[in-house]
Amino acid sequence: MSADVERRLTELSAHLDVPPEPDLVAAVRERIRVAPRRRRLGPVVWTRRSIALAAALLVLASGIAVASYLGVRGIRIRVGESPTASPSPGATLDLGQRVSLRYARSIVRFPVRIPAVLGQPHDVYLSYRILGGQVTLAYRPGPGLPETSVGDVGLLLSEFQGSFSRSSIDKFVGQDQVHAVTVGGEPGFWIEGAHAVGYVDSVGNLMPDSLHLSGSALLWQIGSVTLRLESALPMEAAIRLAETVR
Amino acid sequence: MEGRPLEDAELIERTAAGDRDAYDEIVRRYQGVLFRAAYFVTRAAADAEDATQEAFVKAYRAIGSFRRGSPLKPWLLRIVTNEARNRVRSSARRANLSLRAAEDRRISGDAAPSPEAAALEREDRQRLIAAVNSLGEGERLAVAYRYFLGLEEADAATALGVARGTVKSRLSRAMGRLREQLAEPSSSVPSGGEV
Repeated sequence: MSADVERRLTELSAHLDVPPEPDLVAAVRERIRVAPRRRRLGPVVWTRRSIALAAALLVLASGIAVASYLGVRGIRIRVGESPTASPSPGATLDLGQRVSLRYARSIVRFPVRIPAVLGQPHDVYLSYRILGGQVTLAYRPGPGLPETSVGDVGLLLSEFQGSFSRSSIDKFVGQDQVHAVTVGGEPGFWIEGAHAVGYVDSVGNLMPDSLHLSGSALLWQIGSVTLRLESALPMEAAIRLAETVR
Repeated sequence: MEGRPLEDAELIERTAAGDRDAYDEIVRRYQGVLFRAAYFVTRAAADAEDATQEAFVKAYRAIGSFRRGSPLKPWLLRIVTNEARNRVRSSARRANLSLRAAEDRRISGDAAPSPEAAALEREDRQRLIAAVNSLGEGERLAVAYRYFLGLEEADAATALGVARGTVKSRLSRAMGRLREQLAEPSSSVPSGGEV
């Protein structure tokens, strides 16, 4: 049946092996600056290596100036560093671009909330896989926040415009893995041991989304925003923490 | 008070007026979807990245001619699709679309579904992706833009540079082929998929 194939194709999109999206802002800016207006620059002239080399030279030439030049609106662009140079919680999890909280808030059209009990996140990621953007806050393990299956991550809080329902969840999660809960008076779900969940995005599409930690997830909504908390915390502790999100 | 994001139209106006920061924001906002589209066309990460960069440079040059009030995303996707197609013609190495290997690591010891159920799910996805890989380019890209990029038919048509009816008929033919392939016994579907 066609609807079934369509559903499976939509679900498949979350499982495709697509390379992580590169941060191209600095490279595009440089390419615009140096490219003669009428001449077409082919891939032979501007390979990835030469772009990286040019960017690295820029950084070497004027570290502070370039940092402030590239640091528009608080985004952190780490030109010239290898991905392992500055370990960051969640850097290996394909969560999107690492950005500042301020930048994420300037891009998405919903208020990005943080758990008051944890304060400022260690890192913030922005991805566009879900319509309207998805912001994920990453916290390192610490007192009261146990390590998860991903060692440097204690908790992930993802936020986006959309909703979920028992039926959107049941498409990806076994019934015995879902428990109805209440978070700050609002209905939510506690999901155990699943690896993907389904949301309904802001225009009504069913969107599958992978869970990133192999622990448990708490889903709830504040207005039109869905929040997902992933951690190794037991259910009651996760709910208590979620109730401090504001 | 949290800063509100600028509308695309405002960013376009500012870019046209020479504000490079505004264009940086456009790049940030759309680089993910453009790169993904380019990857579906080229199926090679380096080509996709290069096509995406070149598309943003061309879009910047052409921003003065961009029709005000039109949606920006399909226009950018049209440019990157053309750039990506040029790179397909100039290079021979193409991978098939495949599943993320990392998924296996997420299935922890006590996780449900059971390992057997998870293996079945994965096999189902392998069959589907092999069937998608076996489609001709027109149908494969219609499927990728509609379902993997989540575009409406009209936007997919703009991005692919064809009429909306063409996307509709390609999708309809693709659905027929996918259904046929999925109905066959699993042994008849090559596991890796072949273009």
